[in-house]
This record gives sequence, structure tokens and C-alpha cells, in this order.
Amino acid sequence: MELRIPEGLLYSPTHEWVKVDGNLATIGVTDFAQREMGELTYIELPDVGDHIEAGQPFGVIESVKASEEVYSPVSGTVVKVNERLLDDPTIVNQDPYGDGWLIVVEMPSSEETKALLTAQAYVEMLRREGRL
Amino acid sequence: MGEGIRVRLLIDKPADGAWNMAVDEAVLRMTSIRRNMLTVRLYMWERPTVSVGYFSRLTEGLLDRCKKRGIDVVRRLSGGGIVFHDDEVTYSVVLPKGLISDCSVLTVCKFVSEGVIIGLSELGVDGRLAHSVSACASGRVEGTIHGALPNAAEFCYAMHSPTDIVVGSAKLVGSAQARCNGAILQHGSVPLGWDKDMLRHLFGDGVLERHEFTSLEELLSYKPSVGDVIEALCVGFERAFGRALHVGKLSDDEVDLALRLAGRKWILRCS
Repeated sequence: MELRIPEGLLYSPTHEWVKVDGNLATIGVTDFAQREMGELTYIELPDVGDHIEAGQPFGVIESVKASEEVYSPVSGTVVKVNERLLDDPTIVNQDPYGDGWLIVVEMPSSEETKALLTAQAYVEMLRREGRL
Repeated sequence: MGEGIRVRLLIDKPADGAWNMAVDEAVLRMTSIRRNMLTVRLYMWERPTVSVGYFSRLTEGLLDRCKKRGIDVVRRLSGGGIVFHDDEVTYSVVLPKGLISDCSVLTVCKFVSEGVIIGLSELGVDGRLAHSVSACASGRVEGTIHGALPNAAEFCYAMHSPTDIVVGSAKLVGSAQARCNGAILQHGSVPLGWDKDMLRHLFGDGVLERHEFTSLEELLSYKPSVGDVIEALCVGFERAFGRALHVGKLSDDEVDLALRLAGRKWILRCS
């Protein structure tokens, strides 16, 4: 199946996506990231109220034999966590941009989102790295 | 593999579990920043140690059984199940992301395992990646547990995965991966022999009968020395990577980071 990279989202070089709505950022991992990992078996997410920093890990995902850190594309306070994933992390595999969202962060400002990639720029990055 | 990449070999003295895991993580973190070196690290364990995968459940029962026999317990940074480290050589290979074009879990595992398989052949053991002999056409990495005893439910050698190195149908080498922003670590255990009484104590009476796993001693009818296994693995990695391994040491910043990590992070956390 073709790699999904929807327009209208922003992307980080570490393969997370962000949907910005005012000062709220919904964050997940990209289709590329979930394919590299394979079927997820566990997921560790922060708690509501935790502060997370752009570029720093905020969670860990695991497939049967590999654990991988997930990095935050923006700084802010976690206001919502997708608790369904704790019971069934494969939702991330099935629907990485929809039901597989990870957390929602309240940003003090949206300044950091300016450094993120558009869908087109993310595709170009993957091409440059020989991954498309 | 990129021409500008150096291949460093670290052969470490036996150390405790916290230090071994801290060094693995320090090398992973620094490789993630520098991205100019592949490291092959070969090491042993100062005392028998149970390592628990990042998300593995460490039960009070297993913890008690470890305490009774003076076995250390440490959590790994990698995924996978529970491993008993005793009479073995452990390898860890850390590579920058992008060193190979496809960095999926299974592809990286194959890249590293090729070196281990060549090394085993140097010892006269015909190992193969389970992926190549099992029906795993999707390329997904999936683990299965066949009729595991309750105490062995997360014992690595009771689990079968396409990332195992098998001889015939018996598991010889279990391995797991940890991935961060810019680097990937694949580490695994090459058992020279098994302390069968200890395995029964830790994982239950039927563990040897129920699960098909083996050691170099069982396969070769003698136990090779640690030195022979290290030498064979070095030959294997050199051939697989097409590069000479250069004996090196940890950098000062890797040592500093490992000291900080060993002091806190890899001390056991129960779950």
C-alpha cells in the first residue's frame, strides 16, 4: 500500500505529525514510522498535565522486538492522551493519522510549528534520504 | 554502507548489568548525535543477570526467585522479553540511522544478524535467521509463544520471532532492538551453555522440555571458549559489513554518560 502523507498536517524530521488547531497541537507518528516499526505491542505516553519540550522524547512505542522513542515536535502542556492505545496500540498501525493520534498539547505559542515540515517538504526529505 | 563510516570494535571486560546497559545506551545516544561510526561491542556479565525488556512485566515471583539465588536484575533499553545472561557472549551493534537505506526493524536485524550467522559458521554452527525459514511473508515482526509455562511467559527463549537465529528449529540467538532519533542498537545473546538447574528455578520445571532452544555447547558437543566466540563474531561482522573492525575504546563523553545512566536509570524498576 502506498505511503500516506496527508496534506494539511505538519511533520517533524523524526517522523511525527502535528495537526494545529489554535494553540492546540494533536501529535501522532507518521505512516512511515509505524511501517518501520511493524505491529506495535506496547505504548508509553505522558500524563495529562506533563510539560513536554520540542525535540525531546515524550513516549516510547514497542513492536515485538524493538522499542523506539517518540519525540515532541512542539513544547507545551499535555491536555489529552489517547488512552485507547494503551489497550490496543495497533490502532496506530491501522490509522496513524486518525484514531491513532497520541496526545494533544496546549502550546504557549505556535512559533515552534514554523520550523516543521509541510507534507511536500516531508516527502522531499524522505526522497533525499533514499527512503521513498 | 557509506564510505565515510568508521567501524569501531569494543571488547569489554565482564561488568554488572546496570553498567552493561548504560554503556549500550551511551553509545546509542552519542551515535545518534555524531552519526559517523558503527560500533560493534562484545561483552560479558560479571554475575548471572536477568534482563527485562523495556516493557516486559517483571513479576514479584521472578524477582523473589532471582533474589533467592543472588541473581542481578536489570531492565534493558531494548524491546523483547526476559533473558537470563550467564555463560554467554553478548553483542551490541549500534549504527546511525541512514547507514542502510531501509531502517525497518527487520532489515536492521538482518543486517546485524548476517555477521552473527557468519561468525557462528566459523565455529561450525549452521545458523539461520528464523525469518528466512518461517512463513513471514509480510515482513512484519511478530512474536509467538507456544504453550509457555506461566513462569516462562515472557522468557525470551520461550518466544519465537522472525528475528531469532535458529539452528534447525531450535533457537540459539535471541536479539532485540532500541531505536532513538538518529541511531539504532541491536543486541543479542550467544549462549555458550545453559545452567539448566537455574533455568528450571527461574522459569519452571518444564521449561527445558516445553521450549526448543539450544547453546553452542549442545550443538558442538564441547563448550567453545569466550575468546573463540569473540574471534568468530569479529570475523563474521567484518565479512558482513565489508569493513575491518578497528579496536577502540569508549570516548570520554560516552564514559561520562554511561556513569550517569548506570547510577540511576538502569537500576531495576519493577512493574
